[in-house]
Amino acid sequence: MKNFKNIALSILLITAMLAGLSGCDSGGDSNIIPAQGRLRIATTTSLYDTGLWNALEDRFEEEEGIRLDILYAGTGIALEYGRRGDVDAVAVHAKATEEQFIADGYGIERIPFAYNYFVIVGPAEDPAGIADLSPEEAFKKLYDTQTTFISRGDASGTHTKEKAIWKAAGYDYEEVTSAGSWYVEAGKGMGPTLQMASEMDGYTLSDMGTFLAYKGETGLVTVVDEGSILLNVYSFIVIDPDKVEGADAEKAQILADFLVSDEIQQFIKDYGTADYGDSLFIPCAGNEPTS
Amino acid sequence: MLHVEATHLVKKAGEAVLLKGVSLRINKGESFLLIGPTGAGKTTLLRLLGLLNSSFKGELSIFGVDVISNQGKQLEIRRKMAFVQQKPVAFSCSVFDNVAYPLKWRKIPREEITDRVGEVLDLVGMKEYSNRNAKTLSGGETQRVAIARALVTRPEILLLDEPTANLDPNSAGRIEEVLTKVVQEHKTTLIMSTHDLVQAQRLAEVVGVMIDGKLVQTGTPQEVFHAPQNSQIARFIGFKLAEQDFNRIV
Amino acid sequence: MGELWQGIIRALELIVTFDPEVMAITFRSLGISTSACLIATLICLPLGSLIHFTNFKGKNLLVSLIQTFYSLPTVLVGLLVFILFSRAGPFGNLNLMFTPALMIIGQSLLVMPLMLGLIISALVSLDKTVADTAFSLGASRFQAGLLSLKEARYAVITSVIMGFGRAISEVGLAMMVGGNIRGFTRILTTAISLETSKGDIELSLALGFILLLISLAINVILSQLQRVEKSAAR
Repeated sequence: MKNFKNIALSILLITAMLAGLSGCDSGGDSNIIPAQGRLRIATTTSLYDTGLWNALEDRFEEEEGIRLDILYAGTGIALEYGRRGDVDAVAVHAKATEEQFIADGYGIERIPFAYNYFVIVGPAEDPAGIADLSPEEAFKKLYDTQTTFISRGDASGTHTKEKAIWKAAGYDYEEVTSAGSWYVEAGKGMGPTLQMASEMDGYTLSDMGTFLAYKGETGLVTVVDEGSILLNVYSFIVIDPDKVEGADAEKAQILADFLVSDEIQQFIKDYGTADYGDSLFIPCAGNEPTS
Repeated sequence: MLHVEATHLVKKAGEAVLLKGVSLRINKGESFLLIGPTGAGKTTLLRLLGLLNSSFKGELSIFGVDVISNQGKQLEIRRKMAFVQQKPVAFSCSVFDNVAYPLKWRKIPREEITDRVGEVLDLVGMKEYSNRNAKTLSGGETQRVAIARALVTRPEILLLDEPTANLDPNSAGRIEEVLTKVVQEHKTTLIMSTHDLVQAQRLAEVVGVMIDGKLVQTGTPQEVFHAPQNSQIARFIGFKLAEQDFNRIV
Repeated sequence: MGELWQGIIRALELIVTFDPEVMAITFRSLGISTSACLIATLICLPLGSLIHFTNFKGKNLLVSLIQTFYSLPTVLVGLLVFILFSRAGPFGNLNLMFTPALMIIGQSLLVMPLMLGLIISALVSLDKTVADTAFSLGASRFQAGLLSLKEARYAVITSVIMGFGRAISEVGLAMMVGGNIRGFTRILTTAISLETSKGDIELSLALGFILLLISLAINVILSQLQRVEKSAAR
């Protein structure tokens, strides 16, 4: 009797393990050990929260037959993963940081593949009265009226843009962070930050894509959407294997080519139009958009 | 041939000195009984001789081998001895498995194990209990299983710590029969402690009296009981005998 | 309140219809934590036995140290494993970052102090006479250790189960070294974390429900074992 129990238990245990480990990879090769042959990229949260990457992932895996692993991370940590060689490419949206990254030798080149605009969003009633101001003026007014503003606070591309606007408006960033409790540093991705803004009846800076995707849930509206400083370009950077050991530039380049291909560029343009009534992203096929 | 030769054994436990320079010699096949008041150090001495405790000062040779300078041989020597504790503990398995363990540890083949275990269980009268869960046995039954467990290895030296202390007279008698038989048939060296002086008289060839960590007198039962070397011993023996008489009458 | 209710309903739907993604995440969680537990057990049983039966200077210090690591923050262990196995780190060329294999390694490291400490405790609370008796009957140190583990088996199994509990409910390490990659390293805890922060409450609730069921099962098994242990000790 006792032996039977022991055997039963062992079988259960081994089954659980095998089931778990085979379920580790839903579809495709069940390979739990080294990630050879898998392409790993880190992407910014705003691209991820819109679901664009999920859609692209499935297509890419089917068409190219390469397993794609997407890590959801802010621009800051994404680039760090790149420097360490834990990912083979990054897809982020902070131009100045990216150029520095490439100047330092970690990335081969910037390949812009989509863009949209940042927008300042807030409650429908617009308590701070910043509608139709320029982004810089809007920020100034928020500062003066001490209206709740949620910052990404995570060194992401959006956060970098936000800091750029504060700077353009004439503020030292330290001044802003210590200005008072109206300035909230969320430390979260774009989607969660929008929800936070909604709950706190505050304003925030968001990329258009994520905003549209979350619009229904948050009840926030676009308050300021014009201004050249609001241009938001998403670029794909292949990690340079000469500087970073182990980076799989070959596979990453396949993904880069995929992203700027006509077919996918069209897919990106159409993405979200059915659900949200507007394009979340505008394709730009490797060329830096100007306006 | 000397089976055990101990010279000036000293054992400390923290501040207390449990053995204060014990020396003795035990010959092959001899029955050596240790008597003495509680706390005299009988158990400590037995455990030391059984190589269950290796932190002591002094010299100790077993089977002619110095155990301190031959640390590597200790397991080998221990395997030729067997020890039965004062309150023996049965393992959580059947009586058969309990007794089989020492043979399993020595990698004896299975058929031989079955034979030997059966034989020794028969000897102690526990054959019918073979498949019982050993944890469900009474004190006396557990004691018998423990002795069977010790005997199954056919040890050359058998050490027992007050084996009949917690038994009713019947079981105690049974155990004594077993021990006597084993000693006679296999010439096993017997080293045993007891509170029962009459038992000591019955079983011993040599009696050792321990008082307060010292082995104060050794000799035949005749010598020790009728010619105690000092008043301390005499008092102990007298008191003990009187107590035993008293218990018998009452 | 309405949202919570909606959430619970959707949760039950997902579970009852065996939604493939939910099932995959669940089995992955179980697989990773079970494997981690197994590895930890295989190491901690002999190691615990060795530590218990050997007397050496600093033994008490070692045991205290082990106990200190019982509830080491998972993010801390995660950070350590990340640094060690990152491509830029010493074990980088094993290429294990963001794989279930690394999560298994990480989780076993996480639960080992707990399991080790509890196994040693189990052996300590075992009647000292057991090992003594074994030695006195000619058992080698290894054989006596094996017997002791068998005699203390209920307490030992409890240790293993507690280790499992810690593994399956941790999120910090899994997040850091697994990366929460959809279809590859996403497990119950990291998925809950992600889905909640993205606002998909219903999915989070479903996953949370399942995690709760697993924890419940663990607790039931534990209390059964403790009952058996109590009656065995008599």
